[in-house]
Amino acid sequence: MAEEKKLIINGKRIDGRSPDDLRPLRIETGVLNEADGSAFVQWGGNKIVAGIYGPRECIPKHEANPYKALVKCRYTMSPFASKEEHGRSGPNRRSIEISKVIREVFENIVVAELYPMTQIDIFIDVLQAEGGTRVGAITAAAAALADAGIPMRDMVCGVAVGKADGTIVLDLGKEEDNFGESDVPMAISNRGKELLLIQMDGLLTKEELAIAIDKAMAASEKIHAMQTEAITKRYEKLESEGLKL
Amino acid sequence: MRKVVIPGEQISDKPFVTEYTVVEGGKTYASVVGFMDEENRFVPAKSVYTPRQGDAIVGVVVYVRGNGYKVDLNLPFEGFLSGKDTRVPFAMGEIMFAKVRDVDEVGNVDLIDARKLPAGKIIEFPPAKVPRLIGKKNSMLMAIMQGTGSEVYVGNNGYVYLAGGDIPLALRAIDMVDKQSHTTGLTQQVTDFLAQNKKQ
Repeated sequence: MAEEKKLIINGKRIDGRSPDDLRPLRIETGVLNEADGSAFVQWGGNKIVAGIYGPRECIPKHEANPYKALVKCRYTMSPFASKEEHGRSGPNRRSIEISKVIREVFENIVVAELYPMTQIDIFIDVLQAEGGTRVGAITAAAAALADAGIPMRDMVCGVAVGKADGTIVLDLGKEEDNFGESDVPMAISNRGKELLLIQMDGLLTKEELAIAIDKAMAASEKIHAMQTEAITKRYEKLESEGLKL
Repeated sequence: MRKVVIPGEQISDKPFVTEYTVVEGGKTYASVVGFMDEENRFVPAKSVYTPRQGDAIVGVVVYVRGNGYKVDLNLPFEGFLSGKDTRVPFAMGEIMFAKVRDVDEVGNVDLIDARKLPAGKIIEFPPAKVPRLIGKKNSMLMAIMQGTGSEVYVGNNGYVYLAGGDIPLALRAIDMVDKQSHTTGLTQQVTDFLAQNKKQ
């Protein structure tokens, strides 16, 4: 690097947050008309939309499982998502990996035994990216699944913790993700507090990782509260409208 | 006030094995979004329809085969009506009101007691709210049928058949039930709405 840029100055991060702050998060459900369930997440500079279809006929048919539904996930990033050129938004090495890890999160929480021989599709499109899109995608997809009425054992949300300038920081932004020392995205179930996804880019010591997980657990409570609000808001709003009549 | 419950939220500290709940460690948790009603029962707000024996369904014939008919039921798979179980011959695209005789372990649906319905309109309605559209002792359905003069058949699968009468008004009434399905005193509201908007 030609120019060394400080990521943390006087205990404040580049965007003015302290190490334990989340970026502003807004979740909305039921944003798409044609999907069975949908959600939109705006998390800092990330704009992510998730749509759910299913359970529906499994295609190709030979993949169908007579014991449970298949969960399928497609994560894509749009060509205009960020500063770097992303080219056309078809599957590439990165998006195939992210689709796989997200699918594995939801295979653990969807009650798939109820719908044999079918598939449940999760489509996630990243419209704008600013670091931490996979955790945003998980947060959006969980809210969308709840909106679709697909039975789940638990709610799940994603959050990233990392290390920048030697400090453990919560919810990394673009600069911290690219130029920091480490990035650990995690997906945490709300009730069971299970870690359904953990990846590590860069390095952390055992002790640092333990701190990172604790911070992620604490932050997941806040994110979960926002997911709950997004899901319940629709029904409460309808109820208040209904009573007016 | 009715409380909105989200998936994974505890609804009881005793195990209750019912639809749309999961039991773990002797406690019951909701698995879909729903409400806790006045008697502390869990009512799902939105759910995926799973056919049960004895359900009444509205379906459309999509295949005619030598031994019977494949019927579109708003499910991942078509239902089947055996030619032995019906005296009325069906053609492709014809609408039927039938009962579910049997559902096997992978979800194949067998139909019985099929009645042919004349050409009409079919709309989709959220299956979780079907009991609300029918009402206690058919009260809501009767209100809509009397208010509009339409013939209305409601299937548990979420297909609603309409024919004759003031269909646009009936659709508005059904939409009203959909949007306000979780409020109380809805039958009266719908009756008033239909009386106000009735064609002179």
